[in-house]
Amino acid sequence: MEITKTQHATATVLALSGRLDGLASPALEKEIDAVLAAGSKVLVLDLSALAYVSSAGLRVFLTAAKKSKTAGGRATFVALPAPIREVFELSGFLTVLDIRPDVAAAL
Amino acid sequence: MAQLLALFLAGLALFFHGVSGIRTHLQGLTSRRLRRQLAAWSRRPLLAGTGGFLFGAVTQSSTAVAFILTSLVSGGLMSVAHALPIVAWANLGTVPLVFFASLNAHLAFLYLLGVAGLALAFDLGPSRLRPALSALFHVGLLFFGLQLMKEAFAPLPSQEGFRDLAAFIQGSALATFVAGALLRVLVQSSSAIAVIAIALAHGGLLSLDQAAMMMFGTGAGVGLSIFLLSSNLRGVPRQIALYQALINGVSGLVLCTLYYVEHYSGAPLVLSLSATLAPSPDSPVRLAYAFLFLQSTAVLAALVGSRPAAVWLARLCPPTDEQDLSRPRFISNEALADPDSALELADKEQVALLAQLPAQLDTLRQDAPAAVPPAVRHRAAQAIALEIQGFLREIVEQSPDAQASARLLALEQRHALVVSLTDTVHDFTAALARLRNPGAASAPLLESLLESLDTLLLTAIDAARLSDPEDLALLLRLTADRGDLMERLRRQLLASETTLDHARKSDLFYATSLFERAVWLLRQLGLAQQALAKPAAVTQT
Repeated sequence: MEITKTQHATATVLALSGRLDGLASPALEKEIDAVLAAGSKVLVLDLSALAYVSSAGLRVFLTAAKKSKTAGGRATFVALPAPIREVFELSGFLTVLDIRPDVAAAL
Repeated sequence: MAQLLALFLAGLALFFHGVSGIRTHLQGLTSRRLRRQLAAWSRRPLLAGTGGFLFGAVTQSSTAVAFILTSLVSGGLMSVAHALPIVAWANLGTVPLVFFASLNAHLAFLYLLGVAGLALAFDLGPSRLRPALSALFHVGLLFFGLQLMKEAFAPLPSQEGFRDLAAFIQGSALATFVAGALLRVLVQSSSAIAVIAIALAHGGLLSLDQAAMMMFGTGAGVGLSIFLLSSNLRGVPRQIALYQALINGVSGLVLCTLYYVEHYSGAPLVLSLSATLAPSPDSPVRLAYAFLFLQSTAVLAALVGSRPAAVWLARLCPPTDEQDLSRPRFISNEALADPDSALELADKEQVALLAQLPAQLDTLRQDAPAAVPPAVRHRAAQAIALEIQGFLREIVEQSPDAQASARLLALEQRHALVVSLTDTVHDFTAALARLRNPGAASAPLLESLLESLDTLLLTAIDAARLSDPEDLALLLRLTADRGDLMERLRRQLLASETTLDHARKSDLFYATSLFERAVWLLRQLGLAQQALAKPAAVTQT
């Protein structure tokens, strides 16, 4: 999995591509922790190029939302491909996470 | 000869029916309460010996005791080192039957059979006494069968062909030793063979020496029999079975050796000691003493070698994955003395059981297939669930106060949900394993179901483990009703998999239904968790 970081005025966008499985999840969690530690209040996770997410990856998403909220900010998930949207829906994430159609809508 | 054979067969049948009836009607004694008692006794050598002796007397089979104890050891209620002395003393518990059989109490047992049989036939006495009456009736049946066998053998010396058989066996104590060993493999009860040997000696078919050697042969027979029967056992049950085989084999061979030493050197050993204790040369009690010496030698062998044997057996047959997984990690009998601590441990054990569930799903992942098969994990989970259930029932008997009682109710409710969830996750795993086909149109959905359920399970485990209200609220939001979603997904499946046969479509629907059920159960689990948190909240205020 690849993580591409883009810094905007008040937000940090992490674009994920490839497979977010049990092996890749710790790297993403580390990256999110670094972004939050740097003081970014808006974390945007661009999932448009994400092909697969495992339960470990889903847990990282939940933790990211929780940590952002605790830090007084928010985590937003954007551009969900159909298979990822299906996992989100089945996991109940659509009702608990902030989901937007694209990066622009999240900024 | 035909009448003799008929009498013998009828007697033998009544005898074994009696043995099996006693075992069946006293089976209630092997309930969790007795097992708990036995587990408590196992830590005190004297009580362990008494418990083993009584257990052997009730079951009339030290092999059966050995196999019952394996469940206690597998369930973590007792260590192998503590179980071994109980198995050893169970051998001695089979001796009293042989002494009773050697006594001339024919009339007393006929009365017992008659009174108990009539009481059962006409339903006399309180119903709670029926199991005890049935057990007594079978005791009477056993001795009546024995008497029939004795009567069958009485006219033997005058029968044609007997002299030839007697001449064949005559002088060959080794032949009766081997016969005893082989009979033990067939009959599975040393005391039964000892009683038959007494009847054969009473009928004049065997000399006292030969009958004693037949009994000694049963020691070697136990070893042989268990060696054959335990070939399919693994881990802890095999350790205990081999130990039983070892001590009985040793006792049989030691007494056989002592017999020959006494026979050729004239040194007063086992047979002389039996003769001293029962001076009358015709007394069958002399043979009962020989059986007592056999079983005492087994106990002695056990006492001398139990510690090194436990170490050696653990190396030879290490516990299997299932036995390791079936061992409760928190609940223990000692904790029952304090209901609050017991509830705390039951809570932890339930959460630990819940935490095992994601490993079931891991078996479906191609990148990291789990080492333990799902069926093995499921059996282990069921074993732990049973232990927790029994433990919760025993807390009820400790008369908990109102607050503990409320928590107990909440734990019982959660336990029922965890058990249902365990079964559902197992069925879901099995269904997905059947449906696995990477190229199929349904593959992405099945993968999504797997990952979603895993995520929800992990969230539920966090909520149960950390008791954080935020985690609990999250679980309840994530597990909200998704009936419409599932219905839509099923319609999509039908549309995408047009070439599927009915059986596969049915399997796909079943998998989605199981997913839906698991999510519903997780929601109920969250609600039960809320109920569990309430008594704690009352305490804090």
